[in-house]
Amino acid sequence: MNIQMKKGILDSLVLSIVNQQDTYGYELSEKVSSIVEIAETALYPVLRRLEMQSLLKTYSKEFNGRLRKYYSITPKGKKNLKLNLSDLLELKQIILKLEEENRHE
Amino acid sequence: MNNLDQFIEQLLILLDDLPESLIEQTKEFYDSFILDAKDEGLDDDEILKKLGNPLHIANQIKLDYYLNNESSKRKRFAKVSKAVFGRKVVATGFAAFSAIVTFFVWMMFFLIEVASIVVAFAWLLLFLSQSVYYSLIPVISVLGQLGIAILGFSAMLLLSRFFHLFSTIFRQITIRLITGKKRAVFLKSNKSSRIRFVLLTLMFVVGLFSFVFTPTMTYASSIWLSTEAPLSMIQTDLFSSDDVDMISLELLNANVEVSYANVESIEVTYTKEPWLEYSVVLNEGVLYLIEETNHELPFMSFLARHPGMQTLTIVLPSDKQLDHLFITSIGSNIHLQDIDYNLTIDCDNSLIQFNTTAFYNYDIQTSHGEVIFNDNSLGEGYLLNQGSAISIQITGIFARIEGTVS
Repeated sequence: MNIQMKKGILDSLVLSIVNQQDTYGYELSEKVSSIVEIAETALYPVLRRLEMQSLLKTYSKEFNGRLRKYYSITPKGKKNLKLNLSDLLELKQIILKLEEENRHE
Repeated sequence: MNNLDQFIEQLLILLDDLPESLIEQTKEFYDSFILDAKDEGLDDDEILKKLGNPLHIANQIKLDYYLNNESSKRKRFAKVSKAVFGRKVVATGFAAFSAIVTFFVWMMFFLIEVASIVVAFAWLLLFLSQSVYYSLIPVISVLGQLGIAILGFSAMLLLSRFFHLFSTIFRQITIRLITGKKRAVFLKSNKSSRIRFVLLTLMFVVGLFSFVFTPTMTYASSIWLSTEAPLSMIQTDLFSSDDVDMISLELLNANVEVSYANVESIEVTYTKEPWLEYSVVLNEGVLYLIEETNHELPFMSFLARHPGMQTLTIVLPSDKQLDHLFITSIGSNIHLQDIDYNLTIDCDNSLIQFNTTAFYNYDIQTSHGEVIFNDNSLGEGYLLNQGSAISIQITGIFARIEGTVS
């Protein structure tokens, strides 16, 4: 998929995953990459950006004798996710229409 | 060092110019990521694949960092400094500064110039009808004043160009220091600005030259005038105007004739040359002869003190007389003729001769002298003559004489 398109969707994807359940870096990476190929866009900058925008917050939790950083969604993040999803739905309608017209040709 | 450590190290090097805390957080994330991946049983190559390209990650982090206002202390500083040292602010500040400085200096120059040029032109007009020598001084002076004006003007323009230059260099150095970004510090100079600069410098040099040249020339010409000019250049008709309070002239070893009306007093500063004959013809008023010490003396006293001066003739018209004549003299020949005034004489060893004079009030004291009256008319007065033979020839009408002869 085109990198620019991927980047636009990535924020929403991360937010929706964290919205379901608090998670940590590696797990999140696994979940995201099960849906989109992530390697060349890198997840960490996305997480950082979302945290800076106060859409995500972090807390530390002990695991195997070390601290693991967990990400959870903020109310602002939830609101943002909702907006993003409605945008994406709109996009979906456009895509479906595009697909249909191409099929008719 | 394995591949994973290399990845971390590469990433940290790439992020080197970001704040410490950000680098620390990034390291923490990836350390944790790798440990979690290892816990899941992945080998180094698999983990490396998941981590991605350190250059891409670093670029993304940097991009976010520089775009994000909140995260960037450095950027905030840069913003502030941009506001403070920004092109417009610096330019405006320096422009205002130089404008204020140049305005006041220039105004001063301007006012002085206007005044000097007006005076110099007035002088030129005044002397234009006179000798060529005299008109030379104001011509030089006018040129000089114009030169000074050019000097001041070009100096101000040059100054403002230097201000501009300094402000530009200062601004660029500041930006370079703050942002660490390399920018062209040196100014671009185009052809027209160079030509302007050369022209200004030329103006400045011309102005400077005339500024130095003018006083020198004026001085030189004044010396030349005083040595070369004929004595008759002491212009008598210059003083022919009416209603002058005071006339001051210099006796340059010359005979002076002064004709005028309604002048209250004359000051004559003389150069003492005993072998020369002086002649001052006075029509009205009080005559003071002033020595170089500026000590004021009645003219008879002046005569007495300078016996080398043989005659000083004063001719007064009958309708315009001296108000009072003071004579203090030792060893003088005093000859008064056709005068009509109050008299005070205090002379020793003097010959005093009066011809057709009329004294309303007189006070004459002499010792060892001779007083001769011919055709005189005396009012009330006091005559004291001590010590010597006195010859008084009196003709005319005397109201009263009081005398002591010893």
